[in-house]
This record gives sequence, structure tokens and C-alpha cells, in this order.
Amino acid sequence: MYSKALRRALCKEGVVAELVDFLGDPKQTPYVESPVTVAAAAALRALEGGSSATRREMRVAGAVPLLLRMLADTADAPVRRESSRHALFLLQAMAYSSAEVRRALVELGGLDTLAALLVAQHRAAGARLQRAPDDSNPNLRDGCLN
Amino acid sequence: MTLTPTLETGVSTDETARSRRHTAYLVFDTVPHPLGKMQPPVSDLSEVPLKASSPPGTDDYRPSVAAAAAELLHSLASDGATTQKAVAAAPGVIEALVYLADQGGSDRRQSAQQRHQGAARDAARVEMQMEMEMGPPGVEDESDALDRDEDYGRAALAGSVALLSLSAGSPSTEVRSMLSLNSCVCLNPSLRTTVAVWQVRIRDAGGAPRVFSVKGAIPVRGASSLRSGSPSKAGRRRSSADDANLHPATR
Repeated sequence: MYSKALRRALCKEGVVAELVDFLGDPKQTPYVESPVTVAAAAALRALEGGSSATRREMRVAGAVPLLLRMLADTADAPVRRESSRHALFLLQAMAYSSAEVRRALVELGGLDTLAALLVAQHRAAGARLQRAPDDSNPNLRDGCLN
Repeated sequence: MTLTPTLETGVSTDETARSRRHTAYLVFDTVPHPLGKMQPPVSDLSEVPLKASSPPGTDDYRPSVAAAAAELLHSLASDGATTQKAVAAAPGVIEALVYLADQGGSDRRQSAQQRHQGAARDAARVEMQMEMEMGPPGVEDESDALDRDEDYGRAALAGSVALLSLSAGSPSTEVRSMLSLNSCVCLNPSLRTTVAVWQVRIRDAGGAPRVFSVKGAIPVRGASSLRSGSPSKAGRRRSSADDANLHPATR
């Protein structure tokens, strides 16, 4: 993990705004995941690191609607995108400490997006249980002991 | 400044902490000047295929994602009754939270059981003197299994607390009526962090009293309101009759 001083320095240099601009590129409509966008989302999450100053910088740079948009595209299906998972965890960190972010999320339709995401995971869990093999007999799962 | 194709080799869709760190390092290693313009545009890289994390259909459910969504919804709902009711009224949310709270705990136990079975199989392989350098497909690393157990535990707690909050914050039958008779929140007794015991009483659709109890700690705002959110005076004092309705895991 990066040190607090490094995160602060990177934030001052404008890395946060640059990453938000990059992820919010209008060319990405709908949001397209690539190795670079995954890395950018991971970098945003790493920069957050519990720093309120960085979270404020993200908010000012417009990260809240961006992160929500990164989630919205995957609401109907389980979150397969790594960048979307970064977006979810980052939004969670931002919302926890900021009433302004929470208000923004509600106004932007975040309740619907998150509810859809949660329900999609619930459906996936049900499907997973139906697919689950009989674990009571290890021989059925592991052919080595047969 | 360009983002070189070496990113492809370092970026993984695997969700382990190790890969997350690796990914983050790569970003900064390839951005020598923070103000440099990122080139080429994303459209040029969108064709680059991501490394498959697992076969299709095998990792649809991610307890960490479900837990984060539940915690975030709970966080938003804790700001106001209107929002709270909106969360509770969203189709399928209550059922999903019940699953997290109840079935999620079962999943965690099942995961631990599978881990133990895996260890037993490993021991059997040694006895049979099988020359295997790596485990067969499907046998996961011990640390990954522990991470998954943590995710299940967190999901179970997130679902429980969100359910309790939604129930306690809405003394009317509006939310409570959404809880079915079978929606018993199962307390996972092996949670490591224990700082508080939250309990809420509700009455199900048939009018029978139910007692939900959760102990544990997650970053939940509005915990004080949750503790004082008993719908009635009777809810603050536990009687022997109510004890009979406690879930076995919470007695």
C-alpha cells in the first residue's frame, strides 16, 4: 500500500482528476472495460486509502456519478468487471464518510442501481446453489481418490 | 507518455488482494509524470481481451460484492426514513438481505467444511504417495479459502445489520410485513469482532413475535439509533416468553 505522503502528493499533482477524466471519457458510452480502465479504477481505489482529502478531490472531480455509471451497466448481471467492483468499494468508502455523497447517490438513482445489484447477486447465489455438486462425498468432486 | 502494452501482462481479473496491489503498482509504474496525458485512447485498447478469471458461470456470486452493496444501501438508508423505506420497498431487496443474513452464514460454514475436506484429501494423497506438485483443478489455495470465508462472514453480518436497521427504523408493519415467516436472521457465532449486541423484535405477518439478535461490528453509521430503535417499550425488555422465540443461535 502506498504511503499517506505519496497519496497526498499524487493527489496534489492532479492524478485523481486525471483518472476520473480518463474513466469518464465520453468515448466510453456505454462503459467499456479494458486493462487500462481496470488499472485506473484500481488506482483510484488505492489513492483513496482512507484519506478524506482525496475523497473530497474525487467528489469535486465528479467521481460519484462516474462510479455509479460504472455500476449501473452491470446491475442486470452479477458484477463481472473488476473495474466495477473497484467502483463499488470506492463508492462505499466515499458514502460512509460524506453525507453529500450519500445525497448525491440517492439523487442520481443509486438506490435503484444498488438494489438491482444486490438482487442480481441474490439470484446468482440461488443459481450457484442449484449447480452445487454433492459435497458430502469428496470422491464426487475429486477424481484422485476414486 | 503512453501506457505500454505491458499492462496486459500485469492486469488480472482475479480478485485476490495480491493482484489488486499488483495492478495498482503497475499504474503508477507506467505513469512517470502524473500530469501526463494518458494515451492512446481507450478505444484503441478495448479490443484487448481480459484474462478470464474463471470459467463462465462459476463465479457469478461474489459475497464481497453482495456485502458491499448491502452495506452501501444501509449507509444510504440511514440518512432518512424516506430513503430507508425506498430501500426496503425495492423489489427483492428484503429477500436478498435475508439470504445474506441466513444462507450466507450457511455458505460460510460450508466453505469451511470444504476446506477441511480439502485438507483431508491432501493428507490422503500423501499416504497414497501420489506424486503431485499441484492440487487438481478445483482445489483452491488455503489463503483464498480463508478470504472467501471472511467474505461470507462479512456478507452475513451486512445482511443482518441492514435487515435489523430496516426493521427497527420502520415501526409500522410496512417493512415487517415484507419479512416472511422463514426469514430468521442467523447469528454467526464465530465472528471475530464483537463490540455490541443489537436486538430487534418484530412481529411477522401472522402476528407472532420474532426476536433478531446480532453481535458484531461493521462500519455502520446510525448504530445508536439502531439500538434505540425498538418499536415499543415492550421491545426493550425481554421476557421469558420472548426467549422461547429466540433463534437457537442467539439464545
